[in-house]
Amino acid sequence: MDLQKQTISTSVDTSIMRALTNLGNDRRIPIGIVLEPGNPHQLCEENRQVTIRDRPISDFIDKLLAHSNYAWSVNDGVIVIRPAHVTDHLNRVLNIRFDRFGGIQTTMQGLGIVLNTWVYSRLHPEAKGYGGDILSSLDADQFPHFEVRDASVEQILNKIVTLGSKGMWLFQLDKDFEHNRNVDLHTYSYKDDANALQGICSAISY
Amino acid sequence: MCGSYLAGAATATFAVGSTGTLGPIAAQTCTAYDPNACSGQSYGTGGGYSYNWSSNNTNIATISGSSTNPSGTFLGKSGGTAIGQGVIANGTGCAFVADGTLAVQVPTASRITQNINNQAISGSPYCQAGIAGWLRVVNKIVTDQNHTDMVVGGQTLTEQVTLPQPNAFGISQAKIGTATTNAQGLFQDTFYLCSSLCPSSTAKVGATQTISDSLNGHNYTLTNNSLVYSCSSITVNGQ
Repeated sequence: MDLQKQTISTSVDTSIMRALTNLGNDRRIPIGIVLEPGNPHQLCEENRQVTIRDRPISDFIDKLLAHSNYAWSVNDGVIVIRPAHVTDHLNRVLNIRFDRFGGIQTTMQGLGIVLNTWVYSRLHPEAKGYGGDILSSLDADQFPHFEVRDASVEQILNKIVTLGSKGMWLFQLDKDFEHNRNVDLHTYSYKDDANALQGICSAISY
Repeated sequence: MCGSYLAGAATATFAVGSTGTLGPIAAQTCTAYDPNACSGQSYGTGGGYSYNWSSNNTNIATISGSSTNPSGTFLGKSGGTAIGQGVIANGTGCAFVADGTLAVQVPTASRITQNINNQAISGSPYCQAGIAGWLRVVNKIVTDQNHTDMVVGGQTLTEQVTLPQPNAFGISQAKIGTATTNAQGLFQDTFYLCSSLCPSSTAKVGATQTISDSLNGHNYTLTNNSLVYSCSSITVNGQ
């Protein structure tokens, strides 16, 4: 993905999160967001007024993230936005590797739910199991043969949101992670999860 | 003109916050060969007639838009049944009434319409290597206050699943999703359990599923579903 070559003309006056969600949805650009532990609401709470005309998308993202605690890069074809200072805990969890990640036949959102339980299981080896309940739309795209081998959590998330009509992932670490080892992650399809994406800030649970 | 009847829908079933339509109402006329009977039906519904629609219970349904069209359109205000009454009149002061039923639905519960998958699972791709469990996939529909299916698309569903702590499988969180009903009012629910205790364990873990339904700007909490997770089945309200 060459964000220098793709141009954009737009004018926004909204939260950073909403601007990013709209950018991804309108252009079908996969986006991943790692929230800053201890200050996970900044992207939802800070507004940006940006007007840009025929400039590279990269310029637009730079302006959105200016004066925030976040930086961005393109990994595996996904714009990944993460705290400028990534803690050891964050790095450790995002780099947990699975020899083989697959899932039940489910939606893009469902794959994220399954991955969430796998990560939980790895971080809580004392637990004897994990379970899930995935509500989904019958019209939503399903991915019955999704499988990734020898990949990190972040790589799997990137794989998921580059499927089908593309989507967005959100990852957060509990501010008390050191004590409870809790993380939360979500994947959303631009096509199938428009309502959930509109309310993405309510998914910030820590 | 000697009477009136509903040439179109005599019953309208629709969700609270949505609209439903009765009619159109049409005139009955006498015929020359049998002038004492009122069995003839006029051709067409316009021309020379005026119309007026009303609801006998505006707490349940009110007129939406014009009340003077051949058909009456009503807005659901709350769950229940009301009578929609149409009056047709001609230019000589002769008027007749035709009644229809307005059934307004409120999202109240959900039920399984179809089992899609119900099977033991083991290892990849369902569970992590070396562990096993159960997978259940069902199609569901939201039902109203009278246990009638709500064939309404665009309902946004979210849920919470509450598990007792601690539980036999050591599950401390059940991750959940969101859904939107399709044009037939249907959505899918996938339940799964993976545990190192499966397949041999006979333990059962109960859970409570609470689904919230957002429809036409209002939120409704549906009746809780009782889930039971085990190595050999996952049941919803005993099914």
